[in-house]
Amino acid sequence: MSAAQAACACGRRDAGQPAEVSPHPGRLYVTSGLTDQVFRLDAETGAVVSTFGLDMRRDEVDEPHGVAISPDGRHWYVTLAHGNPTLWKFELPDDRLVGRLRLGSRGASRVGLTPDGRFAFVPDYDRAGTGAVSEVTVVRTEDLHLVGRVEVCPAPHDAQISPDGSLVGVTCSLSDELAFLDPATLDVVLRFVVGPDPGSPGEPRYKPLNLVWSPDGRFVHVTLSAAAMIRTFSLEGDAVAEVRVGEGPAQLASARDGRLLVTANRLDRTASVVEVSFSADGKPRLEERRRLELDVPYPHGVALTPDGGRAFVTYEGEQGRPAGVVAVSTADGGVAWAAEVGAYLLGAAYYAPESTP
Amino acid sequence: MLSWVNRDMSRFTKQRTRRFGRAGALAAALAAVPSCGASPTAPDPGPVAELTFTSSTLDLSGDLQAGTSLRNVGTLALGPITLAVGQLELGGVSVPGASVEASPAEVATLNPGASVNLTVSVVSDVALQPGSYSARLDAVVSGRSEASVGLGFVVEAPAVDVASIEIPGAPVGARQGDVLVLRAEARDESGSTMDGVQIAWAVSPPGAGLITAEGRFVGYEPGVAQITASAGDQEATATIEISPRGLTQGSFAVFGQGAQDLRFNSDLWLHGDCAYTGTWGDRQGQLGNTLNVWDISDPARPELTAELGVDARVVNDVKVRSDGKVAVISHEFSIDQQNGVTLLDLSGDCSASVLSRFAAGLQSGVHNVWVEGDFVYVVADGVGSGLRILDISDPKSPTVVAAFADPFSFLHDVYVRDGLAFLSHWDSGLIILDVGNGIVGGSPSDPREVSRIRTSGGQTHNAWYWPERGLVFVGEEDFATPGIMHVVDVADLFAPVEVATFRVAADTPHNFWLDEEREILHMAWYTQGIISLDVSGGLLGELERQGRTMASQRYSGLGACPGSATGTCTWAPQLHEGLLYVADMNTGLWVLTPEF
Repeated sequence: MSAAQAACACGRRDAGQPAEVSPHPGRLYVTSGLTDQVFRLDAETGAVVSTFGLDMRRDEVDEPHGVAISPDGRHWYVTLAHGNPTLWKFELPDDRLVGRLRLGSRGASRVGLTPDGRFAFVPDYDRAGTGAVSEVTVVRTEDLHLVGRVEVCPAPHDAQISPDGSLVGVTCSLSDELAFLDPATLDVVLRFVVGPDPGSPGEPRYKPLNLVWSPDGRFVHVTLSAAAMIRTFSLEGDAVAEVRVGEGPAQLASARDGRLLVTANRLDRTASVVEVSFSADGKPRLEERRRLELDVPYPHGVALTPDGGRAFVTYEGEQGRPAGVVAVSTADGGVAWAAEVGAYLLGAAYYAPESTP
Repeated sequence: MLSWVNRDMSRFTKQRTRRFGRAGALAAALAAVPSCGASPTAPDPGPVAELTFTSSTLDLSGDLQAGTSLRNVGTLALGPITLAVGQLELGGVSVPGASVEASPAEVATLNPGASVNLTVSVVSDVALQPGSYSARLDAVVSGRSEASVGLGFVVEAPAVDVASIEIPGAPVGARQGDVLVLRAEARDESGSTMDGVQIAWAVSPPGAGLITAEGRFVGYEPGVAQITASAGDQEATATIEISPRGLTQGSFAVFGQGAQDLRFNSDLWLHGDCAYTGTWGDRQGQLGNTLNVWDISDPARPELTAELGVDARVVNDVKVRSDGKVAVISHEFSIDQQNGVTLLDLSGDCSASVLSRFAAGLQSGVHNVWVEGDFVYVVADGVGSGLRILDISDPKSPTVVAAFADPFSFLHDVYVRDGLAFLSHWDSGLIILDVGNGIVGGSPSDPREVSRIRTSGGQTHNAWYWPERGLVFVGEEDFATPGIMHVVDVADLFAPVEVATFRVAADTPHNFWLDEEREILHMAWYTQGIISLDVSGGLLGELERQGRTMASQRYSGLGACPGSATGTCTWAPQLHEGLLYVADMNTGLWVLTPEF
């Protein structure tokens, strides 16, 4: 099919390398921040199936950052963080580019989608403000209509929507807070700090970076990047569980049943597999089941198969060692495959037709 | 039977394939099997990509504005859609300082059956003289026009009772590119001169040259040009013989080379016997984390004398202060995520050591810098981040003294001269600040806006200010359309106006260096190498049509830019002691001798 696609100026799709494409339908989309590309890999083998050029400015770095699959499995979305920040929309399963919206924001990081897929929330992760309050942009995905931007907190990095769609949890990376929006009104309805003695705006002590919701929507698990831990919060603002992980935990992914979390520990070349359990009174417990010694430079993004059995960890690379992806069994830490691809790999998203409702 | 069907229907198949555009393979396969008249059922045409404007032509006369709609009449969602307007032309030549724009300029996506209303407007900083103007609006998806509509408008000459008109003192000859100022005199029945009569100027044959509403004429084609001035029912004609500009296109000789292909290279700056080049991105695992320092005391053999490693994946810019003692480099995508700038001590022989690193408020990244006296002008990444001005009177402890930003776009570059800062602010255009000139009482700690201009197409990337001539050369970095350098007249700093352009179809420009003594603008043009342009005399209209190109040369091969081992990928030139030094992303430092 790729041979029949016309090359185009943006969203260019190259022929890819069809070697070793397995019959397994699982795909992994990863963003290559320095080459302005998104790679689609065969999730079973790590082979590059397609390459998408998101180059709005050929010899300037525009940094593809966050990538997300719509809940209905019909589209995937990716942000460009630099230059004019944009949100791109591709159709599934044929990966056809169908839209791109200039966000008008200062930057862009992750993409949070409502459970019905109708709205996308994109935090701007503006780190140039030295603690100044910054924004989350809201987009109606059907027609990529810009609904608006809402000021939330300094350098919001992640915005994820609760399973029932009633709240948007936002990590405030430079003010040691979590903020929660009502997606219907875009009002900030809840805000609390992530730990005692938080840092001053611009100089965080904990640096909350990414979050995932528990399936029942009662809790959020948050990576505290400057504190080497994952902490779980109730919607009353109580820290109800925590676990130490590797240094610099960045992205966080959850199995569909919420019983397993995996985080990429950016500063110590590892990933952590964390088991989530509940006490008799319903209080969550976190336990690091396994520390995956990946020995890759600057692990950054994480995606999981829905059952949590396999984790895909992107890594940024370093001088003399290119970036890439490693696929690891969360059960035994066995490496299924490792692929060097792109440069400064950031986001990751897993898609398989049977994995969407 | 099947082969007969294919042969018979081949032309039909070709048409249908074009209509499908980027339809999937299944649709394409179906299109290759056309129906025959005898077949009882027509094949499923498959998904269709098709856009249409609701207007077949658009007349902007009167208000210089009109509306239309773009509709998706196919079955595939399409986007993004760029509403691209070509050059506005009068008499076969483009009109500097005037353009047509569509709003919105881009449609994020258009679902099947959906439509979007567009407003098309004429935008002009110059007087539009009477005449018939034309342009074309295209709806472009993935680099291809999917729908198009012609635009036009007529500016009527005002009714006036003129008895006679003449063009006194018109020269009989001029070179291509020479700017002439013609004057028309209208007289009444009594023979008295009539003041304030609007003259309509025209040139024939079409394309022979450009004449503005003020009577400024520049010839494009050698040969005879007829200039007509008309008012009321009277007209006068002047005949001007346009001779070739007479420049022999020259070339550059390679005088020396400092090969550096381990990393991609970025910008350069020279001072004395030393050259400094930055590095960029990721080249097979080699990061843009290094400042390279060269000894150029023997320019035929630049010698790499130092490689300063810093925390960055892009060192996009390097600047050396005029006293040669301090340099500044920029950081982007640093591993520690702090970015900012590093100040360097250059007191050694073609070496550099770190004085300090400053990152407060610059964690999003720094793209370009400029150093002037005790101040560093810093371009912070991010829409609305803009300019920071640092006091480096103590270079070990810089402090922020001022900031400026346009909230609607990101700042790309800054150039400071004579107390004026020229901000290349992308889609917000060229913004001129007083940072000590005094024209509006500004200073480095209190920058004040003097004026701004948005050149047609936006994407303002870089600028070079020539105070002696009151001009700014502005680069537009647009990879989707022909590369354009814009010439902006700032004789009145409060009222900048675009007067000329220079276009090259094959790629887009990057940085410039002006040889002010010889009046030659050397332009880095990525895969096209170095293009050197005669900018002597008045500048008006389309400079590429005036025989002004003095050299256009790749000093290396043609290849991916960046990405090939030997392909030309020119980032920036700098004239230094009679030689032109060039930083090339793929291959390193080149030393060229102009042979013209």
